[in-house]
Amino acid sequence: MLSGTAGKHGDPVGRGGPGKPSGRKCTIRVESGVAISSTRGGKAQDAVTRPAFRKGLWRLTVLVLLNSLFEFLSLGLYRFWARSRLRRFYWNHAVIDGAPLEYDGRGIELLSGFLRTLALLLIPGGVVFVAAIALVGRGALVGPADFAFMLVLLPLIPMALYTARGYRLSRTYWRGIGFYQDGSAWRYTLIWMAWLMVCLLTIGLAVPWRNVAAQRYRVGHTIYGDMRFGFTGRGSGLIAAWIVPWLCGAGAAGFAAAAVLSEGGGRFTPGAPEWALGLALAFAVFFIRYRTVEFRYFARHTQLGPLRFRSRLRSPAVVTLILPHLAVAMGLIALNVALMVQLAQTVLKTQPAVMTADMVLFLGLLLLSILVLTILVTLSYNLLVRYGLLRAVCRSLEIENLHALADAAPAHAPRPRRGEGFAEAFDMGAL
Amino acid sequence: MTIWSHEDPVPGIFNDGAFPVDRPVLVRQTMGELVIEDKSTGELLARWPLGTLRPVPDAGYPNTLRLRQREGEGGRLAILDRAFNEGLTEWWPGLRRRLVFDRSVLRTASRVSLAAFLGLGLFFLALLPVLGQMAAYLVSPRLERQAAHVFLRHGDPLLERIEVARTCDTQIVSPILDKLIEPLRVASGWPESIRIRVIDDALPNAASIPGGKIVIFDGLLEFARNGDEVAGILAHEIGHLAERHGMRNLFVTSLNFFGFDQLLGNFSGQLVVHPVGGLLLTRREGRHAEYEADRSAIRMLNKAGFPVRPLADFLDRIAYLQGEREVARGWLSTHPLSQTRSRMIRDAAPEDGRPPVLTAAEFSQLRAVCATQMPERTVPPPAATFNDGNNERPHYQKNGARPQERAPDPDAADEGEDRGEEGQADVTAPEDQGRKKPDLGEWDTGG
Repeated sequence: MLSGTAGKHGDPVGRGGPGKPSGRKCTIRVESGVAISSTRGGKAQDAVTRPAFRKGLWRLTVLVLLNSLFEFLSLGLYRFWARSRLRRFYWNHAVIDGAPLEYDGRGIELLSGFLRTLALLLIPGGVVFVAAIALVGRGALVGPADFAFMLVLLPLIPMALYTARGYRLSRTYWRGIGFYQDGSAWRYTLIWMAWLMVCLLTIGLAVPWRNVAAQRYRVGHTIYGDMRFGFTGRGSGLIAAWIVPWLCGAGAAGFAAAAVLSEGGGRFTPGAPEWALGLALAFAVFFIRYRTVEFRYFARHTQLGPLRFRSRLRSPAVVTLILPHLAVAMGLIALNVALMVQLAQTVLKTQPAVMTADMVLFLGLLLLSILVLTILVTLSYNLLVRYGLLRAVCRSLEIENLHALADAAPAHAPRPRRGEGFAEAFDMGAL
Repeated sequence: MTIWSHEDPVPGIFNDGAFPVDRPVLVRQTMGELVIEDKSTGELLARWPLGTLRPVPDAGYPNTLRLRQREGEGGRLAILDRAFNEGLTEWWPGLRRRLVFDRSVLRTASRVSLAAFLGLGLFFLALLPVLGQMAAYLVSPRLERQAAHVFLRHGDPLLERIEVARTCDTQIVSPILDKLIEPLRVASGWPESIRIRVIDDALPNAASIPGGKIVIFDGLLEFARNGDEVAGILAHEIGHLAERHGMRNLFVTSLNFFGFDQLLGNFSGQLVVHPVGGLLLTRREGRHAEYEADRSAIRMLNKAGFPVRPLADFLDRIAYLQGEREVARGWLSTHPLSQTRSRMIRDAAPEDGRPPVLTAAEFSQLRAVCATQMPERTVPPPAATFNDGNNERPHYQKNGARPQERAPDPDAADEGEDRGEEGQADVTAPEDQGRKKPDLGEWDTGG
């Protein structure tokens, strides 16, 4: 059992911090999941706290498998509860200054938010559906009508993301004091959409500014207790890191277009497909690197009163988590497809076209293999990407002046009663 | 009830929920309260009555019990003494909540599963058909026609065949067709004209296209013994039109897609429930629609003064042709058993002695003009919409011999018939004095 491993190792996870009554500095060790203060006199040291992420791979594996089982037995309805429990697990394993984060969301909240959103989406969806038939009539314009519907749906994405973030924050506590998010989802959507247009016009060059603008709004409306977070970053600070992936991406798109055009009778561009593929791969790698640079930059420019943050996250740490997951997922899918082709050939060879017991068996096996595949890929995603990344991120963080939080008071802000709504409807509220 | 007691102070960590500061404390239980005192100064920090304690989900820390007084913000207490915690949780087991698994998880999962199954049943069996029917009646025939056009245009090969279908409107035949159709149309209350198209196909089949079109396979005209049987089949098809089955099917399919897929998510919902549930739903809807169309056919035929029994005769011959093949298809089939249908029709229509709708001469004319290109030709494979995936359809042969003998196969007709929103197609096949005896193969059959 890996429980309490951080305690067993007794890693120092932070210095400074509490001790408000005495005003003395303490060394905090994670032990039994709670902070044990060993007060220490002497001169004040510079107060840097490093969050920890406790080990719990076995527990997580059991949790994911149990969730999958219950989801299957409940025809998928359990997924809201499954998601809540996963979050609770991850939150609880992130330990800041000896105290774990708490997640207090409930499955029923996610479900009711989802149902509400579904109703909200079904009504406009139905209207568009009937209008498309009535107005478009002969069917020639069904394509454009679909496109128009997608355009209507697009702004719901940032709105969903922002609302979901607000919900998650409102269910997150540290040392008994909650986070919450104010600001307006509409305004966030406006910012998001406006910057999306700018990005389209600049063929993606404006991405750092867009990300910074969104982050500024999100961080600026995040509150812990009665203290508000702040963000001081600027898009220009990230442009150097963005240039290389941007060039790769643009190049890949250009070569891909050339390859498609030459297929369609245009001038043949030798090597275009190979170049497109190579540049796309380079883009993927450099994009991950950009996101780590961006994460460090965001952390560096985030403040909470006198608190300052730093991250030492490096892209190799991220790549070594994401690539194995992709390899596992693709390997499993390939195996599944091969198995199915083999089975299909065997079955179809013996009894063409007639629904027989063999066919039923085949369909059963098909369903079973897809289910197993889904479970394994979910497991790999949780263990490698979510757990691994969260662990890497947590351990890369450094927090200065955490003790200043002792002045933060609980705000008792009103909390949304329902879950993430749109994000659930789009299945985006992953974590 | 004995209140568990532990007077000796044990170590703990406490924060009062006012400031994010953890303080080492000593905790003891006296008089039904947890008394929390500062470890170094002995200052009384809080008294928590045992009844107000709530668990904080435990991340698996050994020998630690994390407690709070209420959900959300507020004080937290971590008690670090194993014996104390064991006593406390023995007194109230609910105080220990584990992250990965405990009894409450099982309880939640079983409740959620039960709710899912109940909801599923309610949705599939009650809500969806009712909503679909209500919505279907709100749509005008014109809109329905447009919808059929839009959706048939997108990937339904039936439309391609209808576009090359013959109208059969000759000077001689038009009045005969009108004689059949018009009284039925008036009886059904369908507000617009009904157009008849004929497809060159040996299979004795007919289909209604939402919006007011009926497609007859010329095999049907060839196999019908008289005008009354044709009238019966037409009444059944008009029944589909008047009851708006095409539109209802469209709504049900869409609602199923939008609502249920979304509700169940992509795990077992879209992987298992959607294909299986969707299959059963369309089957059930299909059978339901056939009975409805039969019932309204009986109404129409009575109202128009046409004989009703010939439709039952027709179905009987099909039942005979299908033989044991129909047995045990039950809930997997889109069409109910022909025998059951004919029994229902006979029960509803006693011997009426009504005069035939068409004279023998009129029926011959109709057959001669509309079914001119009949037998002795090789029929191309049927459109995929009607097909169950088997393109080896038996050819119609004039000598009546079966092209190939097949083992009876109850499930044969059940694949590939999710024809979505378009019309209700019905295969019919009479046995005509041994003259022709088509093998219906894997085709779905029913009048």
